[in-house]
Amino acid sequence: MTALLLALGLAFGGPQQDFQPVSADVVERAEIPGVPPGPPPPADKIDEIAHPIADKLRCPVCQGLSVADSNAPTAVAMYNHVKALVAKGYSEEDIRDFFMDTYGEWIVLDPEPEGIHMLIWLGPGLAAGLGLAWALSTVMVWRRDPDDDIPAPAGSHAASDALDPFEQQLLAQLDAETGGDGRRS
Amino acid sequence: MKVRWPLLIVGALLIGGLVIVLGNGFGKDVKYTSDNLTGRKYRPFTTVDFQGNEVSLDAVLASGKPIVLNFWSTWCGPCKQEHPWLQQYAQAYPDVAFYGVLYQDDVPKARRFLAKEGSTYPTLVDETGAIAITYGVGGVPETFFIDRSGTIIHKENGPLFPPTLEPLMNQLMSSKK
Repeated sequence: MTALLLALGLAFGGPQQDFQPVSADVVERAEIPGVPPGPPPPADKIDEIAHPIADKLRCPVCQGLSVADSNAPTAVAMYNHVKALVAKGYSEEDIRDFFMDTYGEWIVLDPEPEGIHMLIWLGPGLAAGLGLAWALSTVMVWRRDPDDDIPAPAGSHAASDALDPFEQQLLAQLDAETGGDGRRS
Repeated sequence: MKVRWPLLIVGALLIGGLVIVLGNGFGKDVKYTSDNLTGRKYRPFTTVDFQGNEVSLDAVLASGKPIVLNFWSTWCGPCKQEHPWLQQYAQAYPDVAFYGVLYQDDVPKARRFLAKEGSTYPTLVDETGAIAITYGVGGVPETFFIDRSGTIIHKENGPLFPPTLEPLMNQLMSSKK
């Protein structure tokens, strides 16, 4: 039975461990050029430092979850990567910059308010400000001339613009005779 | 009623701007549209292939060969679609170094797949996912084309077929060290 399993293993799986496990170190040297700015933190502090950093990184294969919140293999790999970088002494800013530089700004859950993102940050405030300005200007117009937006009833003086010149002349005469209140003095 | 033109224009511009920004991204997965590495220098790494041979991008480029770096996995349908084409192109262009990088997958499973479907170039091991992270891989398949000078000339998100592969291979072949 063992021989059969071994034969099957060789046929379908080949030798299982004929490669060296790859450590993160082999690629890290290219990730952030230069020497880490600070000394490596104590081993028991690495998780404490890495968690808030991973919490601000978007898990690329999840819906709205941070790297720290997801158990997806990709997120776990990213979290471990953050921890490896923290262990080397890289700062939060270095690590955030590295991920943004590699993946693009979408990888951070709180993008910097720069460039086109400025519109997203300022848009709601601007819209609220414009709305307030519009409401205030409307109220001020109403207070200055309460009837401004109410259509004048037919026959009233405000409707005189719609009259032809003869009717306007008659109206002017009537005003002159009545003093503008529609009654003869 | 008076129309307040300045307010209307500013409001329209603001809403229009937001509509353009949001509309531009609508229906697109940002992780597949974002491409920060194209036009930049390759990111060196050293790892091993399934046979245990050490592979270093520095060494490959030093030998004068451009590189096609394909991140794939056995659980990825589009990777299976492009697999025969990549194998064919690797055979047709022996002066280009093709490498697969196994992404979030088991090596034995990948071995079985390659044994069945054919393998004309080495697949590299990335157990920690560090290589994929270094190249900003957000899903598979993703393929990087690195010319002889070490510049990433193209990143393809999704499966590769001859109409895309052909011009890229020509570009790689004509590149200078």
